[in-house]
Amino acid sequence: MLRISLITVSYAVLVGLAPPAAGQQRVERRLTVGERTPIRVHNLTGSTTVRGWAHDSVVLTGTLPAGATLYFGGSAGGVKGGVELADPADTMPAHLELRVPRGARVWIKSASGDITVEGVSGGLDVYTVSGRVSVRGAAAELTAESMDGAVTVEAGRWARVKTASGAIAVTGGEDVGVATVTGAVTYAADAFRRARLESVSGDLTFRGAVPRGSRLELESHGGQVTVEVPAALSAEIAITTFQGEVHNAFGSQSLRPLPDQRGRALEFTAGTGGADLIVRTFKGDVRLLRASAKTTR
Amino acid sequence: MSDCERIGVLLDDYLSGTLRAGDRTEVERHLEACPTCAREAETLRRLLADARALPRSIAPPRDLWRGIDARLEEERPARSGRRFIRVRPRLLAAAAVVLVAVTAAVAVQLARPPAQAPLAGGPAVTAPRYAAVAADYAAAVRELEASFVQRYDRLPPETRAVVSRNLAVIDTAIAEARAALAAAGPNPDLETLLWASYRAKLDLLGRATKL
Repeated sequence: MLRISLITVSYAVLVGLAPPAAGQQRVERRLTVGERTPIRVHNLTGSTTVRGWAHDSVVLTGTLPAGATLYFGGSAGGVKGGVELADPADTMPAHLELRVPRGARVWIKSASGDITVEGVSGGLDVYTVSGRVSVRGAAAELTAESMDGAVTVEAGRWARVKTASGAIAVTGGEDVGVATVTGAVTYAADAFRRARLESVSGDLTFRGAVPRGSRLELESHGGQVTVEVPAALSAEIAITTFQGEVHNAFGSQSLRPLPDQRGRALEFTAGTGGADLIVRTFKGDVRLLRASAKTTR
Repeated sequence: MSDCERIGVLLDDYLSGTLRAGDRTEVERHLEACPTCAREAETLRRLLADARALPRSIAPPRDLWRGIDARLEEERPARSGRRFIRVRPRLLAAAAVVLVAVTAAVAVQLARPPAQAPLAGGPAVTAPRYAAVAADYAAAVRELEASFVQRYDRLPPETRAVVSRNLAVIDTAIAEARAALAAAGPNPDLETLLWASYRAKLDLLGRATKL
């Protein structure tokens, strides 16, 4: 094991010290800024990694493809950086890594590039078209959007995540909104205040507890909705579907038809109530499941 | 969670008229007793009233995606090459205005009290409230589609494919919900699903326009 580790470390060191590939340029910039300085980063291709740290400075390192230029500047009032490709049609990747003050408000835009953020607790706005988004370390406010890249985030106080077809996985958060057209959504939390998951045809899954006073809404036209909660669930439950089926592991109640072809509904109180769990589908099936001890968060 | 926080969570739905009777009573009692929440509710209510002044839109085209597809064929010149998009501030501003306007207008529509009695059968689907909201959404969709058409050729092929595929899914959902509404008559749950599909389409078009 030790030998493997040494080999791995040696390789990493060598790669780290290696000169950039032919035509690539290595870049490094530093700026002293404030603890909450807004920072905007624009990198269309490749990858952008942002890490929060306990210093009032921004350090940018990375490699650019041949012919690309880096712009980077600003002050405590705001920092702006990005990559200008020699040819807008160029898809050669640029890889940027930034260290920023933890409390900074960070804005990142990409096209095909992946975006990774760790340890930024201020605000975060990330946009990519086909790249993946990964956020670890809950930002107080988070907006993440991708067309068809997967988005994985740890939510903080407020989070909004959107994709067209990209899969979404969110954990935690207080006020969480997730929307997709065809992507699959998974939300795991046990201390949220308000959460709303919606899709047109993507499957929606919630795993966790529904806290007292909270409101959880899942709405899909055609996606399957799965809610996996502890057996001790205490909530007012309202499920409506028009053509879907409902599997209810919390009692013997079953769907009752609404008059005038208005669909079918299942409404009941689990435990003593005190929270709202609302599910609405057109043709997606609904599964209300009891979490096993292992899967309960 | 404090009472004010709990009421704050319910306030949007209360003003939209979609809150359950029990919750509605709770909100009303709280607003009578809490000046802070009452002020917040009043601010939101005024916002909705202001939105009422927004111009109303014209009736929607029947088959929106077929329309956009046809226009794409007509307008697709022999442009080639793949390039990423520079954002045009004016287009962005226009898209934002459309989105804000329709959201506010729809919020106003939804805040209005529902029809006095549920109606069964086909004719009810033309109830003024439903028709007005549907027209607002469809008109906004049409505005954004026009912007999207202009930008279509500038999008990378794979992005075009993603957007087109998702628009087709949304259009199918819209068609299914509309057909169900036509058969069942006014139905808040069905309408909620239909509006959600419209919102998904607006959002997708808005984002595609900004690429």
